[in-house]
Amino acid sequence: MNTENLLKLQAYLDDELMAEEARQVSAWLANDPEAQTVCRHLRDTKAWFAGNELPVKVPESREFYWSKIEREIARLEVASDRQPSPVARWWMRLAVPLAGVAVLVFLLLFAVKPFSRSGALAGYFHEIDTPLEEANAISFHSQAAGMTVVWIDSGSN
Amino acid sequence: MDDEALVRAAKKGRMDAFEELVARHRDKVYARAYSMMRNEDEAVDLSQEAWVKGWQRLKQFQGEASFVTWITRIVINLCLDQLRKQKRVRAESIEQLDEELGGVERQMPIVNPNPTEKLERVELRQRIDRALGQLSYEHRTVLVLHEFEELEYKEIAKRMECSIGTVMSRLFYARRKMAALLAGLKREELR
Repeated sequence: MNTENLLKLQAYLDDELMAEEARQVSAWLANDPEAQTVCRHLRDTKAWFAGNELPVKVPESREFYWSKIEREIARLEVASDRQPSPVARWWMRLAVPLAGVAVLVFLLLFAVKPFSRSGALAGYFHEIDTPLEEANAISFHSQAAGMTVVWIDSGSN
Repeated sequence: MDDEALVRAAKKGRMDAFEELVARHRDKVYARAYSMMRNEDEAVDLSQEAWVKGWQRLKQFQGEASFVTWITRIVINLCLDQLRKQKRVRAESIEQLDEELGGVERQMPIVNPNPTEKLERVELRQRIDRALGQLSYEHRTVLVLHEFEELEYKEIAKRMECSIGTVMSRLFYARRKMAALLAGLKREELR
């Protein structure tokens, strides 16, 4: 008997076939002594197991067994209490980029602006007037216009 | 108080009710873990882990099956995860290769039925247990889930992450091997 038929017989005994297939196997069984033998063996094997699982007991006392479960539950609950709630986690996710933006705004308002207003380097940023006696050159830089002009007098005057 | 009432109380956060459920069903849950793992320590740890998960997921238990069936399914899943982690699959053993090549009927002669006849029930149970211990993890698991947990092929396939055909083939092989082992045990004793 091939594997396919053996497995079909087994499925028949395990009540795993569709009605039509089960009818076909039943008819086949009625006329095939080899299939009947295999079927009987499979049925016997199945029967050994019915209600014959070895009853085993937990090798620990009730109290000791429970105490470990209780401790673990308590530990996990404490850990879960420490974790922020989903709403808080959502806010935290939002807070990180917001904090970044806030830092950037702060830097622009209070670090860069006073620096430019301080006057110490205002000239550098807005106008550079550098007369070079030998070359009679004057340069002009405009921060607002984003340009630098260098005027060089050849000194022919 | 019956299980349903205890579950209702436990769902409200009453730990004493849950403790009572553990006390009632701890042997059954442990036995299932033991039948799959064949190791006392692992079975104790996994059964306790199942109870902890049971407590955490208690609100999800809607009572479609009995509480003991529900908690047993949790321990089965934990055992399957653990067995996968331990790689007990041993990269598709030679046994499995034979099985898939259709070698089942050639490798395993048909055993004379009833090698266990006239055995006392306790002795029969012990022999079945010993024989189960000699099966590979895949064959033992399929047999345990089908014969003891009465799961259908489809359900076993889902839990073991394999095809129904593989379940059928493993089950057939496991039964044949059990028959041979039980017959062998008997012959041993008769010597």
